[in-house]
Amino acid sequence: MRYLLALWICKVTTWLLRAMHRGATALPGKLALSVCPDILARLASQFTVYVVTGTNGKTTTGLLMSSILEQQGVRYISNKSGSNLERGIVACFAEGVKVSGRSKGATHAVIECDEAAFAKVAGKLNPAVVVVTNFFKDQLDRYGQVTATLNLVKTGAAKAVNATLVLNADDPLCASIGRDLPNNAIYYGMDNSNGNIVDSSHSENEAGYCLYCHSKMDYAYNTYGHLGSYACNQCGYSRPTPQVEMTEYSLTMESATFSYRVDQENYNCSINMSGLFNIYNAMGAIGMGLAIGAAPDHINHALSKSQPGFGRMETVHFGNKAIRTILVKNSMGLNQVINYLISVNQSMTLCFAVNDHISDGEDISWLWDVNLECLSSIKDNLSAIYTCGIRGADMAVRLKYAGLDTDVVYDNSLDGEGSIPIVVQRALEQMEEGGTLVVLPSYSAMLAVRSFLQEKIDMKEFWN
Amino acid sequence: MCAMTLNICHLYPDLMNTYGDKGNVIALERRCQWRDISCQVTNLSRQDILEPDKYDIIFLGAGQDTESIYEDMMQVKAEGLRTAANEGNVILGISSGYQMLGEYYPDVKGNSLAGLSILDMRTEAGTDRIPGNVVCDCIPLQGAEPTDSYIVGFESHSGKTFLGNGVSPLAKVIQGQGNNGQDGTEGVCYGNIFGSYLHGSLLPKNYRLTDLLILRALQRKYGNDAAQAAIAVLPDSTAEEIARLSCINRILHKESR
Repeated sequence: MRYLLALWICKVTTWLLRAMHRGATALPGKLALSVCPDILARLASQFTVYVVTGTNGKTTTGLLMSSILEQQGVRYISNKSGSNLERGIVACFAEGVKVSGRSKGATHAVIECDEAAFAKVAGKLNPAVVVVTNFFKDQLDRYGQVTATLNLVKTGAAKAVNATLVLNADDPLCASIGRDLPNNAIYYGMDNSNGNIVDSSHSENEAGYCLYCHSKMDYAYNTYGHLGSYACNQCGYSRPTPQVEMTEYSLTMESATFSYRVDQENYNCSINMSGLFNIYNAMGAIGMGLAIGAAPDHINHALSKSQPGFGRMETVHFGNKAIRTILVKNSMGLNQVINYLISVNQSMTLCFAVNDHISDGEDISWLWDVNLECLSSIKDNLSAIYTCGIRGADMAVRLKYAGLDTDVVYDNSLDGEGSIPIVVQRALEQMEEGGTLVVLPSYSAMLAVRSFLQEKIDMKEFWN
Repeated sequence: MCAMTLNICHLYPDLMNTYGDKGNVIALERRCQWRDISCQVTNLSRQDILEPDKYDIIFLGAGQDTESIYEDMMQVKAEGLRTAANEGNVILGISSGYQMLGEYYPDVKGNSLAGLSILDMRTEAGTDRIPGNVVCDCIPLQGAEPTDSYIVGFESHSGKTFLGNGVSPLAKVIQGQGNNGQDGTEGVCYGNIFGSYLHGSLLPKNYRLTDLLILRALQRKYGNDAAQAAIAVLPDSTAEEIARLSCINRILHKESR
């Protein structure tokens, strides 16, 4: 009875908030949990649940996983708007069931889960598959350190007793989950023995020490950061052999094409998003597809149809000018976007939008961990660089010390946040015809950029 | 005038760089280069011997968990660091890199560990970490214009540092916790040894402090006249000043509301 009461409260508050145009916030799930603490387990028990967690790539991997299910003709629900804490996950399931508490028809759920929340909800979700993307430094004011985050995910995975784990073999932190737990595991990775993968951002290996014995590990190769083929000579911990392994790839501004190997067979795949990091995301989704028995050809077909998510390389056009928004949340995320920008070798205008709300991470020190210096190598391709947002001035200093000129638009009479639409508008106006504006926002800045773009699109429609 | 060179040693950049502290080294490097002072940065990690006479500035960043470097610090680096401290090399420690300069400090579990005992200060384990922005008035920078000496950054530590009588604070807290949340002090300053809890990174925005560290290193190496002449070449610092002031204004305005 408490369960149904909690469910109704969740549904009614969601409905009320939407009627007030507030969007469903954290409140409905929060209220439901206070009435019935085990509501999540009861809701989730009706669904086959696939979870994705890890530092970077959760949303995109989740989206690609969903497209595989769609292709398989499976009806599923998902929390794709990015509310990935327990209360958001509760709200997602509540929406997927009728007032009676029975599913509206979906049989599966694709759930993106925050790493800390995963420790709490993994047992309740009883997932069939858990995909873990990677572990990088992220929002340290919240978690403490990378190994602490890894341990939270391990705590959760230990409760997901029925789950097949899909793990990034190239990440020694991520792969250790499979070593420490008895679950079935599918590993994915990239073969770089021919040295084709070059990290133009020269991102640093920050987890090059063995998790088990603290010795320095040997790397046969890196893809980026601490990802690669590692082995500890001291205790023997080494990269597990991936069942799914990328062998070749190429990138354009908008897409990525790659080949991968499963059981000695080679397959070709393309996705409508670029960047080596997105190929990792696709490999994670492919791992999930294989875990549920989907055929590689079907998986590839599904992936080729999928589109980038909310602010993750989303592209909109104004006349013949393109704006591409790429969310950047942490140093490795931005390093890999820089790697992508360098590798596509095309002229562009850049706009960094940096805020410091809780959702962005209040400490913006991570900007100094990013190898922005590398952008100098494509200076000739950069028409202009703009900075905006609450910490736009900090970003301008970072760029200056990286040896890059900034067309800094920062007016102290404005609230820093208010500078975002003004600067994006200005960048767009001053850009040459046919140009591409790449906007690199932190999380809350991304929301501001999107709402600005939305308004612009509406205006256009209105005038047409 | 002869060409000047400063050598910077960055200790454990691979293990003690939790909060983008590399920015401090970048700031020192650039502001030297902009003055035509050539600047060499050497990274030292575990097992590398620290030869104090090779470096003018030694930087030690923060690591949440100092366990991985503790043994190496005490056995391989301690002697070199103590010599450097006695000889007046410029040393800057941030957060746990700052705590380690004292008599003792807490590890990640709250157990007290012996520090390098270079400075008369102690750090007690605190119960909770209160991350947040800090504005403080940097004592060695105090001069004519009152707010020129304000420095700004982000702190995230649970340890509470108490300074002994032999050393002075780096700054007086205006907003934030600082050393211990009680006595209104932030960081430490003793001769050419500096410590602070501030990330951000500390030096890029607080460029006057960067210039002070460079000045001290030059004075020691080239004498006061040559050092003053070199530091008087002021690189354009408009972007830094805008970032520093906008941050200070926002923090003081927001927190006092």
